[in-house]
Amino acid sequence: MPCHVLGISAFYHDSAACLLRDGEIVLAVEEERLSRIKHDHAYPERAIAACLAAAGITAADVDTVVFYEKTLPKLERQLETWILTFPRSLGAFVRGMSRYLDGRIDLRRWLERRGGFRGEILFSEHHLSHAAFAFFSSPYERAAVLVADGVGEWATTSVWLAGPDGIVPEREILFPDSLGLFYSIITAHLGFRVNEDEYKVMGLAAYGKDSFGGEMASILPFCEGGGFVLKRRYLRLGGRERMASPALDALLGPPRAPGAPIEDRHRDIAHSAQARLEQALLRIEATLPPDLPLCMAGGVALNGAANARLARRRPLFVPFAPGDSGAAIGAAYVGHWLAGSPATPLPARSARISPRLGPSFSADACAAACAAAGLRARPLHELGGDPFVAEQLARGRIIGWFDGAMEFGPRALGGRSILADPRDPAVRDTLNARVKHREPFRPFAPAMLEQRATDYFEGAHPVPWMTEILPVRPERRADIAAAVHVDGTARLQTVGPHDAPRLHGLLRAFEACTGVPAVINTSFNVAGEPIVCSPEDACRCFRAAGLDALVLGDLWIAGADR
Amino acid sequence: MEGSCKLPAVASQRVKLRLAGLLARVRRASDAVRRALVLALLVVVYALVLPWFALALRLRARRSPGFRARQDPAITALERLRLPH
Ligand SMILES: [Fe+2]
Repeated sequence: MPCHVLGISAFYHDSAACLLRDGEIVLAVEEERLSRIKHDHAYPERAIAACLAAAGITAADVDTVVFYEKTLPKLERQLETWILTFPRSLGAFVRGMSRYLDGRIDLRRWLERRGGFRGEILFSEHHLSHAAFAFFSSPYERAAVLVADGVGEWATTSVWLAGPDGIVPEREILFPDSLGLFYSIITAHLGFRVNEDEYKVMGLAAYGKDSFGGEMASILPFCEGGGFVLKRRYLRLGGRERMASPALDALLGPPRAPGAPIEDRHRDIAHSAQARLEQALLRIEATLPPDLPLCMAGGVALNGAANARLARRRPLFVPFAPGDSGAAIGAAYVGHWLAGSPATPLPARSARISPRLGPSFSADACAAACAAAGLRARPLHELGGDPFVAEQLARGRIIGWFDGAMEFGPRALGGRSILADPRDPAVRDTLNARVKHREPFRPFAPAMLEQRATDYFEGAHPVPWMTEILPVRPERRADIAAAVHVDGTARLQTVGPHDAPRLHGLLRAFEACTGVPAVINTSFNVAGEPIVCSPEDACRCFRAAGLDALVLGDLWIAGADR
Repeated sequence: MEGSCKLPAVASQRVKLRLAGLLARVRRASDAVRRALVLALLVVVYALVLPWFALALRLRARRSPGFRARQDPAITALERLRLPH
């Protein structure tokens, strides 16, 4: 009898589910892709149903369900926050507590009733789930693991030692001293949405200079042993409104209203905040055992610029979903590999895990979706296959790319992508105006043949999941002009033949066509929507986004045919 | 003495009956009414109870800043994972 372990993350942001059968992932998917609500944090009902359907089992057949965090310490931390922010926290208290009183306070019973589970129900720790995902998907036999996010139960930053005997905690920093919260209050001060727009601050940072270094040092002073403090007076918790306090506004100047013009001061604040975050991470790195590689997870590990600096110090592994959705995979790993350890021998660490863990759809399903949407599709192989797509890209077409299983995690990596020619810098504006409606300061990422990356990037190494931002060689910047950020860097995705075989073939064809082994690869969605999942989503997005063409498996749908 | 003992017993009986009646009414009430009741109770708890805890928390000694060591080899023991805390 195969053993099924289901990992669940929910109720904060980016709910997800992951099902393991005898330790192998059957399916993992974020709820937002199925509910079509961006950053959906509700109970991942659809994601769980998709996992069970993929395995051909029912909830009653699941041997172990692992929830990604401990519910009671989290409630304790929330209560303490509400208490300390009395009376501002009334709304948050009533909203939060009424959710718990709906039955979630006894999550085991709640899951049994709501989900119909009959097996064991376990509770991992938030940072343990992050650490397990990072370590078990890494190639390392032994590693130091650094988890840094906004907050889990109480821990905001934790260091773990992982090896054949399992994963053990070494030390931690507790709420509210948090690198994630530090970045969030700067995000709020700059008029962006907390927990969503942090990457905009990183994009903006490249335009600024470090003129707020002193202010950042007083917001986030460092202490011995790699530690730091987030000064309470700059933090405003408990309310529904922005997290930055009046003291922060007094220190940094008036906050930027959402949508207001971006000034040099804002760019400098972003730059200095980014520099302080990088410094904080490098100081922690310096305290780790020198002979161990580093695995990193938690929302802070989405910061590709900081990751690149850490990777210059020692071998670094960042998984494709370091945020809370990936903690569902980590929770499942905890249930399978660590629960009651060392009973289960730990897995061999050679094969590279693929992020293509989500639903896939048959050729018939693609054809049916086209027909239902009233789109005229032609078999791509009749037109010349992917070399034809490469040719169309080289002619400046912006193309939706739907191939095989959907990616897990925030980045499109060749399963659900929008592709474009990286040579023409105007492509960035076209993409922004027609499809993505993003701020002009945010760059687009290049997907590049792995074997050519060193020709284009300084210090290039395999980064198949866009986890690092690397400097582009000055003499190559014009070749991929639309993907190069103002500071001469780009969020590289290296594509090897095993990472995304079809995208790899397309890149080779594009190189044959143009001499450039890269294309722009951005997620297949329009602003405010999650990445598309099904062929129906793809057809809808294709219509809404004004793409020039859509590749749907082996179907070609030209824009003129819309 | 007998009479004075009986009086509280009768009163508590009355209170019990009233409470039972009230609970029965709450059970019969619509979801919206029950939700409103829970919200009202939460507001009362918030206003009357939380300030005292707030005071206690403010008087509590502050943690020392930075990393604290954590020795917890049993973190993945089955008995621990079964607990929601
Ligand atoms: Fe997290």
